[in-house]
Amino acid sequence: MSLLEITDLTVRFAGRTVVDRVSLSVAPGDRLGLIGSSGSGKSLTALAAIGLAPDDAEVSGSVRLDGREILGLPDRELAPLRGARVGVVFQEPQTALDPLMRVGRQVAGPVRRRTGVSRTTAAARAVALLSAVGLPEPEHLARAYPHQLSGGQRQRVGIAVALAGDPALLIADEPTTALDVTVQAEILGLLDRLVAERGTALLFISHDLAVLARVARRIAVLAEGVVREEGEVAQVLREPADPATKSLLAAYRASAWEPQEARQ
Amino acid sequence: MRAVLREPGGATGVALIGVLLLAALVSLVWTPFDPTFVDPSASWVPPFSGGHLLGTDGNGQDLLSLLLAGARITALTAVAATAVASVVGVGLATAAAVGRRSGEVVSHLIDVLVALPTLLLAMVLAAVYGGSVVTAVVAIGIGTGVNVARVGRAEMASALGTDYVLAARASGASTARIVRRHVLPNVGPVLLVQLSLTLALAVLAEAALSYLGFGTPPPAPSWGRMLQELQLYVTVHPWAVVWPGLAITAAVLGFSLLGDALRDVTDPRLRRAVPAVVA
Repeated sequence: MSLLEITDLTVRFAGRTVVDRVSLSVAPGDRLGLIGSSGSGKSLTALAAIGLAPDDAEVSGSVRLDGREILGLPDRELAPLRGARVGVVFQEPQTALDPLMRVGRQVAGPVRRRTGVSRTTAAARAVALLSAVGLPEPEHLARAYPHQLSGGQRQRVGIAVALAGDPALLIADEPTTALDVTVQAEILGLLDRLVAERGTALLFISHDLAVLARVARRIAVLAEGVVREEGEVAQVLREPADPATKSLLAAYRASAWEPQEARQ
Repeated sequence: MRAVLREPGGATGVALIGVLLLAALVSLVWTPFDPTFVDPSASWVPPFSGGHLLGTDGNGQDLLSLLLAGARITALTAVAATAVASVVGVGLATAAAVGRRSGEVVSHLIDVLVALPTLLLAMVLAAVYGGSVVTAVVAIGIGTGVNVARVGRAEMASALGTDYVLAARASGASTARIVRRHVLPNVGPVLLVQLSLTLALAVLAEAALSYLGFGTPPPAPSWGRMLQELQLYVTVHPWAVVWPGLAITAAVLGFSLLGDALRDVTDPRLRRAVPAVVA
């Protein structure tokens, strides 16, 4: 059985269709990459998958998590699933953490909600998680506020928050886009390792083919809200069938090739 | 707080409020004369004579003692009304910002209530329930509270739209927890500024109500009623009416300056800007 089964998901804003009959499925331990240019509806697909589409969005179709339909469930029933079954890493590490709360507490929150352990135990687990995401001096860092951390460190905290509830599925919404290239590589390596160690399924969203090729096993190409192509990463890269895939591939090759030409 | 004291306006405000609170506290244990003591033989004693530092009124009551005792009512109503305003304001703002369908109803309710003048509301309440400190506190609290709610609603709505609130929802936090742990701390500074300005409004409103005879009932001394009683004799004994006027001005100014200084300190957009003019 699929962990996450999205069928004919459609999202409309004031009559405009942004996500159009998207169907995707993620099995336990699977790694699906969702790729598309900006505005192709990939982030919205991910948010709608955990019932977090904006209030003014009309969402239809079906999203099943562990076989249970979650579209249309009230927040009260969705909250226990969020964090515990699905964790989300956001794009902007600058804004995804509460500026006025120490990072240790932001990680400890979902731990307590999931397990109901005492405040001290949760704080200790938060420190362990901060250490697991490769932060130096985690005891010290747990007491820091987000603005005292670098962008890469903040994104590591974001990953710790997403994994704090020990979810079966991790949704990563362009987690490396706001970071510079070296930090990007570190964060990708970290996600890759953590997901493998914990057997967590991964839904990785990006507009960058190079990034997706590193972490995903299968990819789905989204353009104008429609899934154009889906398959194994290697196969899609070797034999792109859809024009949208070809243009993404061409953009990727151009960016990889240009520096060499500049050097000559 | 240290940054507030570094601003000249803020330091002045804190000093004025300090004097008000000190006067109120001192009057609990000591006043030069019993403020309610009537001495017909000593009516209209001019300032600095006969042991009456600020003089006496037509009943021979010591004006300094009346002012000190009046500070109690002023401080009490200001603080109590602001407490009511914070409960009303934060409550309404939260209800308006969080609820979907119900939020819209509360939102419109706030807009309607903002349109009602505080003093009129207080006079209606005083007419129905009789003028008393409690009526004044409730009326001023509700009247200023809706203004706090109007500002708070906008601030909370924008805090609710932030990424960290979305992230908190995505990690399974309940709405109540998000409001308590993420939204309120982040709009706190704005609410604090609003509430300190509310203190100034409350001082003024209490004085106005007492002046009009809807506030503190006699014999409890009140600056507003002193002003009203003494102004009848302004042509004969002009110095007397100056004292309550000065006291009211100083108290309002103190809270206004504190509010402005707090705003300058907490709002980065206004940092290093021209100090706001006190209304």
